[in-house]
Amino acid sequence: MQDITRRNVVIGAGAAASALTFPGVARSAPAFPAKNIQFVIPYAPGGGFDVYVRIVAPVMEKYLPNKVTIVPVNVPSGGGSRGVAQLYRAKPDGYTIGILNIPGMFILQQQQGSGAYDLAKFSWIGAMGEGERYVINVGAKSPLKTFADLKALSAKRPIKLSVTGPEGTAYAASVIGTQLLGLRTQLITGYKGSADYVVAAVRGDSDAVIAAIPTSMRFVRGGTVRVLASFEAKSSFPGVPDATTLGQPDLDNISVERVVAGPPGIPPEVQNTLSVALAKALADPVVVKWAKENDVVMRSKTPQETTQLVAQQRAFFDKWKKYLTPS
Amino acid sequence: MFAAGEEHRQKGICLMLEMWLGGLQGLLHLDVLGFVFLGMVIGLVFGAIPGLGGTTAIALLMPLTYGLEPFTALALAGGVMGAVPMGGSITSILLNTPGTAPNAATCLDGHPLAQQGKAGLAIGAAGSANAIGAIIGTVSVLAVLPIASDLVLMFGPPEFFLMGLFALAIVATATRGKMLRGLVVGALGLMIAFVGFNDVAGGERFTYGIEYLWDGIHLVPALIGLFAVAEMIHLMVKGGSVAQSGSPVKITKMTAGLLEVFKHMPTVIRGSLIGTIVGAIPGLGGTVVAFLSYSVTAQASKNPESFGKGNIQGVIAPEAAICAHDCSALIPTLTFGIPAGAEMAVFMGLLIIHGMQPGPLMLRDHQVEIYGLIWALTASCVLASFVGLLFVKPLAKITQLDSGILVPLVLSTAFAGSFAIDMAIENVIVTAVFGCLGYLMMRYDYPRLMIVVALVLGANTERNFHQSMLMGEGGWSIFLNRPISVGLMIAIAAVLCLPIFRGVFNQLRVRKLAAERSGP
Amino acid sequence: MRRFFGTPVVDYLPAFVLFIIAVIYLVTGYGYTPQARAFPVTVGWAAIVLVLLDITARTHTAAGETLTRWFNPAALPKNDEEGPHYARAKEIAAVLWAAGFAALIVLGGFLVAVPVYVFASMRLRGKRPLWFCLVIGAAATLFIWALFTQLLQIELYPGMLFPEV
Repeated sequence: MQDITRRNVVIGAGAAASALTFPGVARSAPAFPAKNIQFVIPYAPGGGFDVYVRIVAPVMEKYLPNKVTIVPVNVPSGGGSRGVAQLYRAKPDGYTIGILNIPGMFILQQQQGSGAYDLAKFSWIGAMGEGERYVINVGAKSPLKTFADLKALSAKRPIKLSVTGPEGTAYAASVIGTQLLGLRTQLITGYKGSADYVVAAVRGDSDAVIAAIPTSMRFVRGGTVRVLASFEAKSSFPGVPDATTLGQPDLDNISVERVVAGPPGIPPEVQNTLSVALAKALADPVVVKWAKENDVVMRSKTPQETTQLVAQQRAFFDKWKKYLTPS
Repeated sequence: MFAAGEEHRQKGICLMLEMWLGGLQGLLHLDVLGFVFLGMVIGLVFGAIPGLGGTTAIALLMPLTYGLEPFTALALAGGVMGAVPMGGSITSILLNTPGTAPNAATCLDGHPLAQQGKAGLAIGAAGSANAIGAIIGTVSVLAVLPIASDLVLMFGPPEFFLMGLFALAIVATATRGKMLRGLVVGALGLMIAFVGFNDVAGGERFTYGIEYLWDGIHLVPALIGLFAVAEMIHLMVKGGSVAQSGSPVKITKMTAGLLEVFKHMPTVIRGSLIGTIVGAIPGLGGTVVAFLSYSVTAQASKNPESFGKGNIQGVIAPEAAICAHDCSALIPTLTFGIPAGAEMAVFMGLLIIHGMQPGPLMLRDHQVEIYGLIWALTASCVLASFVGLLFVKPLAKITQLDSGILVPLVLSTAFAGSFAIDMAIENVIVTAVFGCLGYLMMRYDYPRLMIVVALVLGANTERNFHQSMLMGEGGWSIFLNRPISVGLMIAIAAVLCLPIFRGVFNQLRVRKLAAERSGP
Repeated sequence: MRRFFGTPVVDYLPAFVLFIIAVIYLVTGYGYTPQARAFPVTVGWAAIVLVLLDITARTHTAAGETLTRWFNPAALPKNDEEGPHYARAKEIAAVLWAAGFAALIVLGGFLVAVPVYVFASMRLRGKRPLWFCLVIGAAATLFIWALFTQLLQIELYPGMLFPEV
């Protein structure tokens, strides 16, 4: 008798405790997540997106209602389109999510002309951080000291700019940015990876290079590169002109967003759980510290903000489509 | 004024030595050594299984390193990277299955040795060459590290293009007995290399709309097919076991392989130097380095026809180069963040997660960690060789397994590994197709050496050429304005003319001998 | 056996196939923009020239034999240590086994293909006792499953016929 009573008490206490810990689901433990979650990364291990996921995912696990593992899965084929298509076709139960490069995915789809996935239909969960903006760099040994020098050079001859291949965001940023600024360019394309084309400018292959801020910062700190102009609305580099100063506010729209999404049709409660966990992970001290050391701003976005952002980016890049696709 | 400069330099050297010793000291803790050992075991296993390699191993270990100190995480990674080549050599020799792409060069002479029953000798030699190559590579890296960044900056697209041509020229002239057929498959390899998205001009080529081919023909699945699957088909036709029945399997003592290496010290040193120098320049990559070392040794040898039939030097040369290359490939990775291959790319990811940004600052702020990493890599390489040597006897027994059992098991693992590289089922198809191609090449006597090098170099060489043209604004003068380019062009000319000179020289010598014989 | 310039027609087959491949490659290549096709087309033409030389080298004419002696001495009759001749049917069968296994993987996934293939190969080709084939087949499948899905957390391909449930 006494045992049963004690057992009842324990059970009752447990139920009360769970009711207190999971306010939205008073009587039973939440159904989601009940097993491991797959985090699809459409790139090879070691790259920028891969690193972000591997830093954030283990922290995100802590903020999920149940204890499960978030397993990063790299699917690099097809320049990333394989992974995105895999995410698109997965079951919308919240057990498969992925990270997407916006506008990278738009550009890739433009290049490949693929109909395997519709970027408008993904269930947007949030974004890892504030979008990265671009800056114009020159090698430390370059004779160009200010943006005015660059503009003057462009009047004399096309500026040689080292960029990645046409399927990359740096290429798009360079093309659009120089169009907006009225600079004549000769693109030296095809450099692979995020560091190679900046080193090209340091080495003297090209006159200048347009790279994202976190990448550029590595080289700036090492003293090998100088920033001439920033595409941000307000420059974070002292003494360097920005989009507002240069009279081209559109430059601030060129950014690399790391968007987290699930397949179309995830139930709203599940989407919410994931979204909240992601937001809390990005505010976690471990992540904040890492972000600071790597010049990244880890501000999270709500699903609504993300949807808006994606639509905005799509409109922007559709406008520039003719400059980016092969003739 | 001179005195001050001299003092500054001496101080710099002293500081470097201090850091160098600091790296060693940091390693000599029981827990850190434990991680190096763990990395070594993982590296051996992953290196042996085709398709998995250092890349997969480090990617999988990343979550495990989260709680570790940066130094310890690097020690673990170094342990993995140092042992992978040895793991790969074992399967290359025993089963003609390259565990990693560079080990394909070891297959060329390593497997014939296994077929002759000398698997133990080959593994022993590979292990010893690995170890010595790593030591020579490490010492060279430490010597080069201070000027590393300047060195990397001296090589740009024009130099990379010419280096690619140089490698192709050496390999082409090395297959002396089969040069015409070698050139034919070299052309085939280049044709295949151009499949995929064109990085320079945009647009896809030769993909016929297949999305998988956007990145081109994936290299490692193709190599697994060319070597492993082809050999398994061959075994199915031949029957019996890998070690041809009738040849007594020489259960060689541990030291036999080691002795062979000491007999061929010039080969080891040559291979190590090639590995170190070419590895420090982010242009060619480990696979090309291994084949280059193999070809140079074959050219320099007195009986080049014996290569491909079980010449022990054909095992020693690439193995020394691979390990030396692994050490020096760290240079462009660490100083500039330019990964010298997929394994280095993942390794860079590991660095970033632990708060170490590859770049000029890395050398300044994390010198001790870098030296610790290099020590760990070397230690792991040497240790892995010992482990390989220890297990020589049981491993050699695999060559006595009947093909009826061996073939299905190897094919299953090969196809699974091929798929696992990047989760693409088309990899299996590529492996199967190249398997048939590889068998046909074996059967009709076309050398596989050329096709591998052409496959690896094709796309990069073209890209570097176009970039050079864009840099030089369309003129060819860019190649003439840069001293290193000019040097490379002379080297290419020399390599291409060498066979002609040698042929003429031989003719003259033959004629002279004949004249003497029929003389007075 | 029909002979063409002194050599059995069959011996020309490899070079001929390569010739066809080079031609298809060139035809496709000319469809691309000049910059994109520069290298591929150059290599394609070089391939055509080399293959023609190869075909010539295989003939028993004077030109052919000079070519062989200078550029491919390993193919000379006295140097060409004829490896053991295998029955063509056996070779084709071996290739089909490997290709069939690959096809089975694509259709049914690894966990279906591996046991089926290992069992069939050991039983039909190797003629091992039934229980032995079953054991090794099961062991191989278990090994692959444990290594890839459990240890490496890599999902094995489920096969075209069995889409993810």
